[in-house]
Amino acid sequence: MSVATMHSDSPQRNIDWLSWLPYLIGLAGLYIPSYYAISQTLWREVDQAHGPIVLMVIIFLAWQKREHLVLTKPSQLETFAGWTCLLFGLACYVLGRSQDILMLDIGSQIPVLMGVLLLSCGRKALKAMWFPLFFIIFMLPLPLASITMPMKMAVSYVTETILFWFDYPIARSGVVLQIGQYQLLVADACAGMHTLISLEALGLLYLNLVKHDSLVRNITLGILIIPISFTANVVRVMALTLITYYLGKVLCMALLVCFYLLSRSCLLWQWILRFNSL
Amino acid sequence: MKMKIGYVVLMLMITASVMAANLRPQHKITEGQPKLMLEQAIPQQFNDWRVLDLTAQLVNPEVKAAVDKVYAQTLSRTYTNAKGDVIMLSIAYGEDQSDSVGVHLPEGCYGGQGFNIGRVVRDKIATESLTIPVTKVIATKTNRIEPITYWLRTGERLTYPGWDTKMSRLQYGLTGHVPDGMLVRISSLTSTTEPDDIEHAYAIHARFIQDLISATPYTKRHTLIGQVIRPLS
Repeated sequence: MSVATMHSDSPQRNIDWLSWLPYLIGLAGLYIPSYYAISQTLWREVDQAHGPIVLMVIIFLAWQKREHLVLTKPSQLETFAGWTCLLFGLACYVLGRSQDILMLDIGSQIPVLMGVLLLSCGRKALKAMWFPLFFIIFMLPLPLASITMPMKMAVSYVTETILFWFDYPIARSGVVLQIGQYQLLVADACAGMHTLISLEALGLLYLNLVKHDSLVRNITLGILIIPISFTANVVRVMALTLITYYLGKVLCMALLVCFYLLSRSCLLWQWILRFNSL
Repeated sequence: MKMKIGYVVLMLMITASVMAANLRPQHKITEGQPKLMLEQAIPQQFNDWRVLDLTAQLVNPEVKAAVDKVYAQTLSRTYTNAKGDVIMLSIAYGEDQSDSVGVHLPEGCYGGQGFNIGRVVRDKIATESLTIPVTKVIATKTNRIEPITYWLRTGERLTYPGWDTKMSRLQYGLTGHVPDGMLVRISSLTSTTEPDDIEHAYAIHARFIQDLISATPYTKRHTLIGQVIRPLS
């Protein structure tokens, strides 16, 4: 039985559920425990709250490309590459899952799914699905501590310089800003490493959905996301500094709480901002 | 043919799933041992060091909450000696140092409180029992200059932070054990960032550490430095 010919004969594809079943059961067996675990830990952290949304985006993207999922008999090369990917992925999974190394646990989905796609549908399907697979990276807890600190310093520095130009009584030591009688600490959240990550994710998603032809435009936009996010964070820190200066700390705290609540839905906001800014 | 591949893949996936579930480390290495009481395990007075009743530490509620989430026990004391040197000792101990909790390093904790973290240097301090692999950090915030010496214990081993600690934890994990973990931090305040001042502070740290280890009985030393080879006397 050749599904390829069946596909060309009938546009109304018959999905061969029985052939897909082992893959689906296998994947569910592997990753339901992983997702349950991160839903209890990682996704509850503010830094990683974008995780579930990224997951939904991945499912949506994959669903849109579902017509490329046609079962075929893999070529020799595809078989070889498929088994290699799958075995490598499963090894990562076993190590990551058993030792609580989330990078490997969640990250193993990329090679495992690549292997499954190659073995079931061949490289055309893999080519069609490359973006959703790539997007899994944004679900991983990336080790960012080394970049966060310089980023915080830079945000504090730029904020100080700009406000100083406007003759505000501002001084800075490290990541602590002193304005009038108030002292503000530029915390991790303000550095916006995570806003940067989610913004980068959304930017790439946008580029992928719009499918603009110009490669130059796409690359330029992809790179520009970093300064955009940096500027956004400077504006945010400056706004908070000025609110504190004029209205006092109590109100600022109240506003911070609002910001916190907003950051819960920040992806949505950035989504809107992004569309407005383009 | 397709069906066959599918079932082989399924078999492999189930195997991986079962393996992962079975390889999860179950045994805490502290199991069966008497519960560690940090307050009592560390002597209040040794050599010419004694506890100074001055708990004016930097306490930031946000940081404290984060610390309590990670660690089972923390100890924070200030010691002084006859010469008037002042040393701050801070120990954090957790029975379960899995990847999701891990040890919060001073680099991160101080940075989070607005300190600037200067160069991070690895060093070794020889003590009566063994040579301790320590990490030296200088934290500064306006007028507060704080050289820090710290080390990590993962289970029975002393490790440098980062890769070393991770690999050590992984070795325990793959043999089915969950190691406990301890972070011992010694710091003091200096008036300038002159190299001489900093070196002097680190020399005092080293002496404090050596005195502390010597003053701790052999049977209790493993708390601080893990596996200790006892002399055959």
